[in-house]
Amino acid sequence: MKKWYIVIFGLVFGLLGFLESSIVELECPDHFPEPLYDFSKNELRDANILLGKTLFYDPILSIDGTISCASCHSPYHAFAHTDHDLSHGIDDIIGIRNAPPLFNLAWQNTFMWDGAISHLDMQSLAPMTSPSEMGNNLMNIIASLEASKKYKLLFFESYGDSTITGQRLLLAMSQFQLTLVSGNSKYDRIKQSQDTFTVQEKKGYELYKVNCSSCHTEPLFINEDFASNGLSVDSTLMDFGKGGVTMIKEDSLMFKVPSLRNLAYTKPYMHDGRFEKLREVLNHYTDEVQVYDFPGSDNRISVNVDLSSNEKSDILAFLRILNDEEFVFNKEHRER
Amino acid sequence: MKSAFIIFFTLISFVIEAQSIQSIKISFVPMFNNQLLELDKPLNQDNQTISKLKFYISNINFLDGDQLVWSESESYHLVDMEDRESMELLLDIPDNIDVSSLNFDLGVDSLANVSGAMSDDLDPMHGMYWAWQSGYINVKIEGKSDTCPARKNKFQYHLGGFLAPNVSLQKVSLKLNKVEDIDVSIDIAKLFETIDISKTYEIMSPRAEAVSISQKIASLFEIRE
Repeated sequence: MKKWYIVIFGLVFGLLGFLESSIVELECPDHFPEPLYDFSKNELRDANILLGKTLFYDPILSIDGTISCASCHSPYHAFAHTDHDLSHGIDDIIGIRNAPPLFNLAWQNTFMWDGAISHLDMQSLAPMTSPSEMGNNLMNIIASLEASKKYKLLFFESYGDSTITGQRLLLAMSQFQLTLVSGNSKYDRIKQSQDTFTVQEKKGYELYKVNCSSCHTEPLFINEDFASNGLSVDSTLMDFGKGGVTMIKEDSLMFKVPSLRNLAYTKPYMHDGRFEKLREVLNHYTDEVQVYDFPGSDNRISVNVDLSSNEKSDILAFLRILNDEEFVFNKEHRER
Repeated sequence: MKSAFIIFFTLISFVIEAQSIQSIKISFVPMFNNQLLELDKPLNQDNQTISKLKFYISNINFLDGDQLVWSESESYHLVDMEDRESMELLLDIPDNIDVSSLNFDLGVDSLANVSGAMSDDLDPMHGMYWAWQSGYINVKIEGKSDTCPARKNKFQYHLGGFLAPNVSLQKVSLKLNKVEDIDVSIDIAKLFETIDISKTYEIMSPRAEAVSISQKIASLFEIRE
């Protein structure tokens, strides 16, 4: 009889725990636009964010238990893979693209350098199942989680029962990643009238507005679009970006426009990580733009940008104030 | 007193409602040359076998002429030959309705394709979702044939795609006179009359061939007398 009391007490207490796992409001700066992610279908809750975070740092997701999401998306590098030009998977398999940083994902609708993924919830599936990344499959991952007492409890606390499904797993992965908001750089403080540009930063900002802003648009420094920026094709990769997905000529060599935030932590640069330094990137835009004979598009850079060496230094000074130290050192985002 | 009346009428209305709803069963019956299809069993002189047959049936509705009479809500069903239960769809629909056709989609509509992680039959854990390129696989047919040049003679048709110009979802409309249990057959042999397995044996992404094969499959659904 006494046992029953304990069971009932446990159940009631557990249910209370679920209800108490309060809805969390995404903290974002006032000068950010409305998020694109539909939070009504996946309301942020403490327990679910914790579940997503635990999964993010757990090598249980890879087929041989060797790598986690954080292996290529390190919190110390704005969730990018610094010093590695191409992503690394199980068995040291090298991928074909530079692992992008993860932040401000709630303001994005297309994912991957080639835009192959159309919803954040489905994004995590790709690295989990790619043979050159985690090499796993969803059924197998669910079976491993089912066998874990820790995860049964975490799923119970997140969803009110311990059933583990593909949907629940993916929604939790989104929850943690949605909390990775970077909006506390010096630039953001200036936008909120809490700080001011130096003379050089201001010069750089004006040059940015003329030369860079049509693709890297404020305040997120993305435009949720694809562009061909005149890079030569790496003959060892033969990567044609979006064109490889859609098989449409117009999309050939189009890659997703990355954010200019947190560049200090996310080298190397470009989809194949070919540039180690930001100045090399600027040199590409001023001297090395390749013109390919593909059908026209507004998003295809076809001429070199005109910038003097001093002007490049000014732009670099502006880019430095887009580094969000608070984001990179945020302990909340790290594995406990 | 007033509340007693309310309870009384509520009960009455429940009884009336209970009488006017009927449960019907739509059973999918895969065939091969007018014989019931069996998985992994040689079907012809090329030792052709089917090892996997899975498809999405969605947006089920009944029309009378072109008038919508009844449609199922949240209508997404994964039909999988390896899971007997999934071959039979149970519908609770009103009794005594006039209908002239049963309609459904073969595949998953574009909205569900871009709505993030879904549950139940749409859960990506069922292996009917392309991880590396967002989108549901509407139909999966796999098997072997001596004529197939691929490794271990395996052919694989994963048919999907929700973006123009390669939209693989197909509409199916079947004539019928009254609502009762329905057997819907699909004779897969007719599909292979139009596919040369020695040339077309691997489709794993949205493209024109996926659309044309999907059209062919959609044309094979028939009400079995």
